[in-house]
Amino acid sequence: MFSVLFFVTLGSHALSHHDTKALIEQLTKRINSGESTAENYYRRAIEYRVLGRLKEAKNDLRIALQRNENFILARREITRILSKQGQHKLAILSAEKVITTATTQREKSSAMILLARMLLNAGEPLEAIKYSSTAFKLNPNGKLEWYLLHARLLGELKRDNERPEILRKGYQLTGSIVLRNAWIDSLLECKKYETALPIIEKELISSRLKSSWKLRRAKAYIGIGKINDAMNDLRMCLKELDQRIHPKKPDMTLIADRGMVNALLGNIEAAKNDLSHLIHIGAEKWVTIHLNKAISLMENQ
Amino acid sequence: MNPIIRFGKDMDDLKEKIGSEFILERRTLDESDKSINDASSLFDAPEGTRQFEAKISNLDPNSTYYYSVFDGEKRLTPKDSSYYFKTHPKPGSKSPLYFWVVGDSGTGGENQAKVHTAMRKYNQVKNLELDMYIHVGDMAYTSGTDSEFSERFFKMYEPTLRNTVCWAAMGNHEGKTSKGEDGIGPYYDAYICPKAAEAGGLPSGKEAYYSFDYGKVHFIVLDSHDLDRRPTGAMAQWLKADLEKTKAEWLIAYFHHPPYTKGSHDSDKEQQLIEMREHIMPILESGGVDIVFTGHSHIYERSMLINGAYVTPTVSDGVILDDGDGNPNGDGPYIKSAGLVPHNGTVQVVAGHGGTKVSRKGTMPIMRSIFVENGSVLVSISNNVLTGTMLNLDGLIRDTFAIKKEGAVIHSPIENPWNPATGKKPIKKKSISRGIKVPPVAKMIIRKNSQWAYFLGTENPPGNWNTLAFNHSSWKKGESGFGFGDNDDRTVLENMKNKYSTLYLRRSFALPEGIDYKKIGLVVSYDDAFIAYLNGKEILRVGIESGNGRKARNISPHEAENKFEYFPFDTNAIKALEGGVNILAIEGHNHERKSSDFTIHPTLILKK
Repeated sequence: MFSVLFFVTLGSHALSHHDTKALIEQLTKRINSGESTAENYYRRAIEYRVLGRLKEAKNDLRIALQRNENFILARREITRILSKQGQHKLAILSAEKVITTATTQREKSSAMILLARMLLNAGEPLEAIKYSSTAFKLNPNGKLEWYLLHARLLGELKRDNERPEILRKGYQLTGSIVLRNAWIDSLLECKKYETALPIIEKELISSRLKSSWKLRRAKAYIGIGKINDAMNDLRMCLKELDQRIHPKKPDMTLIADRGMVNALLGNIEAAKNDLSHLIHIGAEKWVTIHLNKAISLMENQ
Repeated sequence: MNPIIRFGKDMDDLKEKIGSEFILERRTLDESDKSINDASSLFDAPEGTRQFEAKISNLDPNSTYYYSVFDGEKRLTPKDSSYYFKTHPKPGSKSPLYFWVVGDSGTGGENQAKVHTAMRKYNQVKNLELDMYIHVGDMAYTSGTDSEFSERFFKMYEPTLRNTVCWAAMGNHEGKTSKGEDGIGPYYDAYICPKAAEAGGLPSGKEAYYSFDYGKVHFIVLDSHDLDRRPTGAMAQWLKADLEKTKAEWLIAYFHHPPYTKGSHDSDKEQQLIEMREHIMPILESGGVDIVFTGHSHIYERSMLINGAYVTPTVSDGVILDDGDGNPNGDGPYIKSAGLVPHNGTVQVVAGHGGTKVSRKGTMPIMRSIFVENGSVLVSISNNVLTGTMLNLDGLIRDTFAIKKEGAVIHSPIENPWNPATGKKPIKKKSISRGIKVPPVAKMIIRKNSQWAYFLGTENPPGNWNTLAFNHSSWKKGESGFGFGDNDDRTVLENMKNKYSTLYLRRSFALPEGIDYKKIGLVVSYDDAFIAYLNGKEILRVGIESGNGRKARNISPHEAENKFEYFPFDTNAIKALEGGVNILAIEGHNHERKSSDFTIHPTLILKK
């Protein structure tokens, strides 16, 4: 069925759109000529952030907040910068202020999620999940990213059995394929192979590149004891991944897949190489944790 | 108001009708009554604004429908053949595609209008019609407000938007008022993007990034402005899944922030641009992307065929797969494998020159064509060829490039590629006027002592003797090598001495599947000189300064000594190759008629 969305509508004092450095210069001129408003400091901070000049960005955001302590956008921005700089305690304090500054339900729930992220970054998933749960209470539909965050927090807290339900709900509400795939992964982690397998089989038929689905099927096959079939899938997976991975500049997500394939095939050294590579290119703990676990498991067998 | 849309395939008979039951009415937030929920409110439209969104279902694919807008019985749009819309063809179906690419246009100024007019005039003269229009962001300066959208986008492009769908990517200026995470703001009021895969691809669950199909072409639209660009982010995870799923034959991605630019922005220094290059490009290229359109940087920059250029700062070493100009009338199109093949080469196009002031900071080393002037890009895809044309604001064509897909092409990076800063290719260290030592052979494509068709140079052969179309059935057949004297020839040309000095050879061959074209080369034993042609195109000249056939001049003597020399195929030769049958044609020359010997013994190899 084909549809067309038909759309009919009835119905400054601005900065010119030059390059980033020129924009900073324009804003600096304004600030120096008396227009030292919170808004102008905030805008200059955003441009500093674009250039990776976080120190200057943070300084401008501080001034913006001195001029207007309820400036929620500036407060959110400084929170993210603090976290990026590893100043987790300050980031948490700042996120808490975002919550108190928020006036609407939407702003409050969004601020709760920001605080949950800061707490996760600080290594406090137990505290973090309290805030992500509250955010869902304030805004029951949530957002795609909230479901991913909440599911991750459950994983960090080793409450894997609760993950499929939140991801399934998120998928139903948002329709996002990312949540659908994360839901399937969570089913495999919870050993619910019979639920996952029919979906995986269907995906394998309709996909052009099959390695991620073959990897998922191999995990299910291992779970139900079809080891030979799993090994076949893994070998085919490896073949496809080697074609897709740029030998010198690989994509992180594919390296993570290959590491897992190697681990499950018992190629421990190769899996360790992929793991080291992931760590070397700065992959997050959430990317490496499953591979680490698989390598340890295979080494202990 | 009682909005009604009437539509049909016959302009004079708009048979179908939809009314308010399928039309969503949206209004400004402060006016909303309790019957209208929050999500359907307009973000910042002036009080009294009404926006109507009609959903029309069960349309035929690849069809033109005329329409008219009514308020009850009162017709609001004139009876005019320009009021129509076209549906996309079914995903996977064979359909040519012609579309317009614009970026950074939304000033509402003279240059934006000129760029638009230039495109419309060009299409009118060439009798072309757009199938769709893509905008790579910054369509409503300065902050993407409702009034800026009205004046600088809808009003400006009204004659085009009346009948051409615009698939948009959000720019940073729209991002000042619209947020990708929520899908709220004037940008999201202006567009209804297919977050549930309504137009193909996989559901993203977000209007900020989505995909859609047009026949055999798959389009991916990303939000490079305000969403997580890391590989672990939801957008990158969706991208990976979407790429794994598509079975299209062409893959086009677009977003606002360019991974490669030295226009008004610098992709070596700015965070969003660096992240799109370091995080998103590896995913796109491992999924087989063909072309990436971006804006943000106010310039036109178009790359060579590249792969794996992810490091910061961007360098050309080890990433250029074809350093030609890509112009079908110049160095020839960029050649890629049929279908979508990972890391088979991408062309990057920065089209941030749609209306705003243009400028340049430097030279991005992967670029082949750079213009600091306003304009836009027109793209056509027909079967296995994509052609892009940069049209400036005065309607002049500034750049043309093409990508041709056939067979299986294995590329490897070019050493010392063409340099955009000097406009030249670095001077080669080795001269190839003589051959080099024969490398280990993986496969003989044309063996020694193979049968060739040959023509004696007592007279001139027909002008098209070296082309694929020429029929050589009337020529003599013989096994190589050809010549006389020295006892080293299989087909002896007894009457050559003092009678003629040139011999013409032809032989067809097909390439094995999946080979690396850069490993192909001629291995020839020759006395004295020769010119080789592939499918009518000269690919190699050894020992002859100029001319060909009887007009060949300054032929150097060379003894075969029963030895073979290797001549690897260069980019020109690779471009001359065809996917199916090829013709190798060679004219062998003696440096003078009275010479005591002559030999030409060509073979074609694939080295290990």
